[in-house]
Amino acid sequence: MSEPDVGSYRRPDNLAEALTMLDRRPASVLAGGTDLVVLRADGTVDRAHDIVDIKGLSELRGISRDADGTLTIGAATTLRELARTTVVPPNAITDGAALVGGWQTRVRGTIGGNICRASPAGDTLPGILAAHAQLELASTTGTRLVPAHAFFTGPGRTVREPNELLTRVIVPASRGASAYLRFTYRRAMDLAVVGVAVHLEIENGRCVAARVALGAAAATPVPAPEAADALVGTELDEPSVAAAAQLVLNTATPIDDGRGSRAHRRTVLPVLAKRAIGIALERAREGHPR
Amino acid sequence: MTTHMTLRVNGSDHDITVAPDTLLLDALRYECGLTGAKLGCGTGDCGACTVTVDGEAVNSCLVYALECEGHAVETVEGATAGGIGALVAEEFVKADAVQCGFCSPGIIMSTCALLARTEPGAATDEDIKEALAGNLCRCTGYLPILEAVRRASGAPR
Repeated sequence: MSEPDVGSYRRPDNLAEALTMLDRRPASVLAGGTDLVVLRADGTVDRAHDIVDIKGLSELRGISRDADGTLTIGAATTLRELARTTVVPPNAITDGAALVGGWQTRVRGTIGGNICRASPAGDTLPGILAAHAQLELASTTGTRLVPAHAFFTGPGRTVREPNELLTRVIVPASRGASAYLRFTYRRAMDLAVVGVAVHLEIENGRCVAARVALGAAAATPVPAPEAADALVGTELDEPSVAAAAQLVLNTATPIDDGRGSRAHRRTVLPVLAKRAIGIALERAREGHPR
Repeated sequence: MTTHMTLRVNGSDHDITVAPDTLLLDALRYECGLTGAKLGCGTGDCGACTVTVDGEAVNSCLVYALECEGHAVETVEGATAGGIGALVAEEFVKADAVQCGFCSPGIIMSTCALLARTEPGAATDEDIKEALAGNLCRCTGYLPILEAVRRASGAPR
């Protein structure tokens, strides 16, 4: 016997139908389900909401790169597909996708789900920020683009309205390279104690642009502009990198919780930042041999 | 609020009745009578409920039964009835990779999914660890499990 207060399961045939479903009744978007099923079971998400299963919509799947280099990731693309893509070289977003949960989580979980769950520790989120990605939200009344840094408003909270669906992650073309690193106690099946994404652009051995973003270091993933600015103009030599890495602490406002104390997180963050800069630099050099 | 659906498991169609949020795990155990997949944590952390859907290892505690309509589910009962799955089960026995056995069905299903996507002998220890990272075992210390998977991977298919 089922309980009367459980919403219906719906599987729309296309995007327009999905948006109509989200408009008509209170509904939860189901993609991989690796978060939503648990959140509905424990009461965090209202079980009376309909379940709109969007994972099969072809409009929301796949990874492609335009002629101008813009990368588009469908929101229902699985983390596994993203971690394995050959459309782009390894970068901060694909690094994050490869780290979420375990195999069973990544074949099911999606980039859109990881973003909309808005965990401060979400592994793809710092990479999205560092890439200056735009997030496309669609509803029956149209679409809007939200810059990644303006998308997250708190733990589990975003600017997405209940009738909106995250459809695509749009990453602008860049000649740079990026990397994401996190600190965990276990290699897999763990949540980031802290994470750092770094994006670097290099010309003639000198850093001409840099972006740094932190995970699990505040209520939302946050950019660390002071650290990034300190890298620009340098040759990314050891002292410059070390000094810049230290500046992530000007942005980090981590909490004490079961995964780590505030003090521990502040100790680990600059070390991770330094290592992430190192990986991004290595990738930038591989991409632009000189 | 219940719905009738057809769930294809181990090559057979089961006509079952489910609620909108009946878990695949519960549908398998209580509607199909297949109790190989186990409820461990219920949150996707332990992997005891691992089955394959269209050949991919998933946690059946994180999937609604209705999501699987039109897809092919395989459980440890079907996988070990013959072929590579039977060989995997045999290697688990030979290597003493089973103690209490609660995690074994899930680990065997993750192994079957791994072997289905790799050539014989091609799975490295890193591949095996990556494939099994979502399956907890509290008895064996994992070394016999690794050995069983290595042997199964290396066997001719």
